[in-house]
Amino acid sequence: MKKEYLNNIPVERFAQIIPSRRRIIENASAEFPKYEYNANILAKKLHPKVQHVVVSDVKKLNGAKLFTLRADPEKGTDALAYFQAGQYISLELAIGDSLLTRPYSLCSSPLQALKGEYQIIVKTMKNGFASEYINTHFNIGTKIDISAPSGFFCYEPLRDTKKVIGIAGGSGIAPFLSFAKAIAEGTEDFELTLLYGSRTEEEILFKEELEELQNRCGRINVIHVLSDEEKEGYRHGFISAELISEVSDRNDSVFVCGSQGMYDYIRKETEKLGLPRKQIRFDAYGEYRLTDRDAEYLKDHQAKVYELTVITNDGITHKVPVRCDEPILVALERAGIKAPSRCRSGECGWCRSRLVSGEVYTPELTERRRQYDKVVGYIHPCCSFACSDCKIMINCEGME
Amino acid sequence: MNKYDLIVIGAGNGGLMTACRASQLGLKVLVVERHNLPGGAATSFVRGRFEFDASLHEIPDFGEGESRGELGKLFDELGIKVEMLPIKDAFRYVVEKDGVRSLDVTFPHGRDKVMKLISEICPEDVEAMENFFDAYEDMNKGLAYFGSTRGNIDPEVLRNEHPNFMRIMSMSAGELFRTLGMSEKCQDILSAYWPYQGTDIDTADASRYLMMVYGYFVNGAYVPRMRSHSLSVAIMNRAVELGCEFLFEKEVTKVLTKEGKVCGVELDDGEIVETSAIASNAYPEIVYSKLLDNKSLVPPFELKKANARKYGFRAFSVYLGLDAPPEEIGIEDYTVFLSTSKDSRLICEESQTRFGKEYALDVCCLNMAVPDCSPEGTTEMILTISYTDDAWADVSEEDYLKTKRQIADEMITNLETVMGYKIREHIEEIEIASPVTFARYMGSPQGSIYGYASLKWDGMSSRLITSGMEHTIPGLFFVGGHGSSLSGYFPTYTSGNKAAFQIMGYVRGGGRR
Repeated sequence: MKKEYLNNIPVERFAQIIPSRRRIIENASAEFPKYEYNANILAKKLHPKVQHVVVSDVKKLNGAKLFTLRADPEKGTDALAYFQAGQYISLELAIGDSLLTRPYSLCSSPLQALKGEYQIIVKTMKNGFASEYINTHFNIGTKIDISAPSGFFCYEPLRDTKKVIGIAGGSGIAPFLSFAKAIAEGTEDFELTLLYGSRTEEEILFKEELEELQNRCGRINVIHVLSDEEKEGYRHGFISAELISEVSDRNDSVFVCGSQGMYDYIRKETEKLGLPRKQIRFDAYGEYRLTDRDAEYLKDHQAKVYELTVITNDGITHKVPVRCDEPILVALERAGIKAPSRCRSGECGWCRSRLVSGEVYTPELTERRRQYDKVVGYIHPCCSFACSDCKIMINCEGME
Repeated sequence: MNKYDLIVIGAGNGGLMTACRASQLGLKVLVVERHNLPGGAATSFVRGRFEFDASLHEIPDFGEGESRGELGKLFDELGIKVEMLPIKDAFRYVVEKDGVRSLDVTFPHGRDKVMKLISEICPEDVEAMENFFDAYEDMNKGLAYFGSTRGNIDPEVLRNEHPNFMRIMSMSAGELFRTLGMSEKCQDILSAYWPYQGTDIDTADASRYLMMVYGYFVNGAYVPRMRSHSLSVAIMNRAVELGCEFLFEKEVTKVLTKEGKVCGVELDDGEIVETSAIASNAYPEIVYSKLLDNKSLVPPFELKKANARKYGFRAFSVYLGLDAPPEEIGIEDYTVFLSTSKDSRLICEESQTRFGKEYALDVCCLNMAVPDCSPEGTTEMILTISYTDDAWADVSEEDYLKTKRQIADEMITNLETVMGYKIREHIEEIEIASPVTFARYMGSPQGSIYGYASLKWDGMSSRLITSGMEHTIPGLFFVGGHGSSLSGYFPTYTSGNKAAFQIMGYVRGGGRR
């Protein structure tokens, strides 16, 4: 016997389920339904797949160039994506047979982006393959493809303190210039004390602009630190724990942008200050260079060249040599294989690829893979170094 | 490129499961996904030393050992291996407004434990609760019969042997509670899961609600040790072992038809790939209005249906990486449903806009089930609220961040005030996902994460009974949160699995339905 706990509900209602559904559907419009709403459109505006830009201005700085990029409607980009101060864009480059990317922090203000303009600083690095190319070949009118603004080196009021200590080295000034402009224009709301390290007074980038911002906005304070020169009006030496404590009571958030060597130094100095991890943020610094930290890997693999087999999502299999002292991504780019990448520091995951066979070394500082990816064999080629012949699949599975 | 039996558009839960099952059934399958990894919402992301799950809180009906649930068995059968960990309690439900706490109860997993708790806190509801469990059993038998007939039901058999199934299918969850004679308190407690349904308790189907509550209470809830990303990759890897191919960073730009049937797709690089069938994890309106080459093929009924439907929840989540262990934050529970009101209808109404006066906050601390999900001495948690309408229709690029932060700020304040957690001083990483974020990663209209809303006329009962009756273009199938079994991990996996069998029938039958 069935229990009678539902007996007052008439069984006949069951027969009404289909007719009442039909009735409602039949009464609706037969037009083609809308599929894009504000949330979808905004998502596309903020995160375009690619942005076509054209160089609209080039300004020569000391050892660097400031490029102004404008949206290129001719190629289909009518507006540039809005961004948060501290973010970068990744440039797509074709140099000789190589296809590569380079991330550059935006040094312009977020509001400037809404007017269709971004700015980046490109410093000519010693043996800098891409920077040298850009600084010699990019002129007004040069067309380039860039990524959507990316990266997490941003001020977050729910996490960071109202007063922020910025530590910049050389062209690492770029995101701070954007921060300062954003503060001055009101898109960011915090106080910035900037410790800006340069070798000499002459090498300071944007000296006047920083001065002007400081004069215009009381919430920006710039302290220049010269390492190779003693000069009146400038601090001398490195940005040490002592110097940081002079401007901060150790409770402030600290943002750092510069070179890998500088990060090693700042890490030691901030350790002395006992700053908790949440208080200090390093910008992604681009390509990782092997150092003493990686001695064990280097000892076993120095000067070796392995064979890298690559399967891409167009179904093509490539075989290319990979040197042990270069990230796998660089070997791909040199071979002209269009491989995805953005931050080149391990953190964005854009280059995530399947390691089908072989072994790679991932320096601890660049390890940002998902837990399960480490278990089942995915790598970030931008910061993986070959330990043997390797086979990888990029953006495809089961295509062997 | 080769000709395929099936092309799956989108590697979300539905697409992945369909691909895996169809491959196991011997079909030649290609999955095309526009992002660089599988999962859709079932994914994770890394910030600093934390890896956050984008969407998953818990999965019912996984089970282990003797109480292996339906989903667990499905994974076993397909040979999908993934490490799952049990969650101790079902949930803690706290209702508090203006400092007045009107409810605070922790619900365990396991039928015996649930009954013991009910006998302690709502002794007059013991019979009603037993009947609630029986109702599930009755419904399940009816569903089994319904499924076994493949649409050719004998009304006599149904009426004589499954009258309660027929009744339950016509009821809302709220009506079921009342009909069972539950006390108000018992109704309130059982209503706690309503946000997982995306509609208030009087709109959500009794059938789906029973299935979910039973799944959680009896078989317990589980969570993967390495985020939902591990589920997605495990399903994909198994599909690959079974011969399935995947293309990432490629988008289907056209669905091609010939002689009134699906015959292929065009990819964003211009390549044309032939196929006998398509399983779309993308919404019907995207296929009909954007992708389809021959618009005249869409049956008017399907267009009307797409227009009649409403979207399910649009979620807003705050992901927190905290630099102190859970006990220092004050966390004791895996799931806390924190609400200003027991009345789900009121909250649904207030959730139509961004700044409603009432809220239901879903708080999940992964460390309570997966202690090593974050480094020692840290905690990660996800706070989620949901909108019942297109609440982000008026937000501009410039206001976007500010708006996100304002809401996140309010959520943290509410949580700290009601639960006494110490969150703010410990935030090491924070990420905020709005409906815009979900729209970006899932491609769903308005950033819906729950497919179409479970309305009275479009809930599980009605979709199930009419499944196989409402035809679209031959060869085109829909899987995912907008599919036949509604949204959520369990429903999208199981409906994706089912769709593969229908697709096999279609393909093997030479393109006949």
